[in-house]
Amino acid sequence: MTPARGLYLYASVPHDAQLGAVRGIAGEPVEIMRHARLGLVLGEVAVDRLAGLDDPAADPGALGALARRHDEVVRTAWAAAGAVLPFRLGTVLVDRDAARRYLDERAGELGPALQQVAACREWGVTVHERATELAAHADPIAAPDGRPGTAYLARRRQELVRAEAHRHARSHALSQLEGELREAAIDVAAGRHRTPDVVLDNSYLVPRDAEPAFFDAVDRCGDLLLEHGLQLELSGPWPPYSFVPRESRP
Amino acid sequence: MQNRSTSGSRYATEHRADSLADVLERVLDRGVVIAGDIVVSVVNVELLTLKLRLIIASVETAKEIGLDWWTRDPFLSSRAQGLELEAENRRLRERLDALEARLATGADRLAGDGS
Repeated sequence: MTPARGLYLYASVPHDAQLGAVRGIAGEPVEIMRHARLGLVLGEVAVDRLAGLDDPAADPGALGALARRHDEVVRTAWAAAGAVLPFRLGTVLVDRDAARRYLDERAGELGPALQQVAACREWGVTVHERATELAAHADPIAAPDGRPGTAYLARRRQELVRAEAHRHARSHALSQLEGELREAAIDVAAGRHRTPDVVLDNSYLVPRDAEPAFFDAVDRCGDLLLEHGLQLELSGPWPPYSFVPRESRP
Repeated sequence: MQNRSTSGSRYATEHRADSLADVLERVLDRGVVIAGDIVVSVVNVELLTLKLRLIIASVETAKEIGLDWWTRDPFLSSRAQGLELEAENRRLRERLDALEARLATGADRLAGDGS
């Protein structure tokens, strides 16, 4: 049976983290609960506040607003605590006992994971096709008098050679990007390639002191990719959403 | 806020309105997941379930406001698996059309030479 109220989780933080006055997704005061040398950033919410999203009549914009609010609270905790492990949207525990049981069970993973992401920020890098790229423009080969078939074959051959060189140059530029970014980052996570025109979708965990090198690589490789009809986009900084311990199902 | 400082890259996207899809992807797909009996069953708390129900409930409205990325997610939508193939088909059709047009031009020229 679902209780009326539950503890909505935003993030795990180091046990000594402090948080100012912050309001959560439902306007509730957000606090840090401390146990097992870790802190949980949480707020008490009415459960049907979330269950309402499930209503077919619900405004999908409400999910967008909730997502932004969740992200805002995680970011505030991040700024205050220095290191966070964000929870997925909609994670609700029954009560404080459940929260303590959770920390008892998972402190061994959460502690080291917090240390890994400390002093780092997540950056999203996507590369997608530029819309104009698919129209190939070959220099026409002049048709020798009366031999259009030969000219056509020559042109076709030229197109194929160019297409192959183009593919090769692109894949080389992409490998260079991946190699250089990986070097500046301490970890990388693959994204979902949301649309078919996305050829690369990665998140990088980058130490702050390595950011200048990371941005430098982004800019240089981004310019190179542009020459090959590919557009790079950098998003962030993000709290380390993509670099949290995986839950192993019991 | 200090964490919102702009990056030192020319390829940085604005962190505002246009990145709702990025925010959703991160807060719905990533982040720590808790499984087991210590979690309240809010809409079965599995977010995948929540997501799927939202899709069914409001996919049209969601599209209008740009929240439709999951319709192109092969894991969530069987339609998405066809999209890539569709795009390739379209490209191939366009090339075929272009080639046929060129062949027709060539044939006209040949016919012109013959007369």
